[in-house]
Amino acid sequence: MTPRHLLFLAAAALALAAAGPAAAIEDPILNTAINEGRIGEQADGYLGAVDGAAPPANERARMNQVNLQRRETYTARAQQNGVTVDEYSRSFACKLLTKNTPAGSSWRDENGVWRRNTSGVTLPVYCPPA
Amino acid sequence: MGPTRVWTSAAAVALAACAPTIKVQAPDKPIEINLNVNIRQEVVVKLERDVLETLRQNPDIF
Repeated sequence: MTPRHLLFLAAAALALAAAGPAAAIEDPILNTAINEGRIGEQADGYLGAVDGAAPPANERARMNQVNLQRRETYTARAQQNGVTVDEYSRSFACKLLTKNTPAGSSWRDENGVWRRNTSGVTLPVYCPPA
Repeated sequence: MGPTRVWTSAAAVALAACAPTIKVQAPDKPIEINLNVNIRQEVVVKLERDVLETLRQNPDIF
């Protein structure tokens, strides 16, 4: 292996380590809807239709399906950790808001206001700094 | 009231007229305070590891 190969491997390893959780949901329908600003993450840990946007029926259906699955997961994990479902889902949102709100897309803050990501996502006050 | 008194109050009025105007303007958006959000950061920090693990296991919904 040449030194150049080694350098490439090191860079790749570094990039992987820095990546953390994958950006975006592994779901093409939702991904497109989020990237195009029709659906967004909310501070309560669920997905919602962005104010003024009208996601088509198939996107809404997928969103509702995912929200139901999320609620199931939140409920189970909250019970396991001895916290309320709301505490658990809001803690989850602290990660989801940055992970699933690429530049140009929108998120809903803890006051229920939809905001567009033009210069980064402002996390709710109770979220630890990312 | 002597002339000195009159001059003093006139000066006071003149000075008051020179005072900078402070405009208090209401924000154009209503100030929203949501009291329903009652969650402590320590809870969020305590759950962080569990959240990251759950996130990793369910990439299709998170």
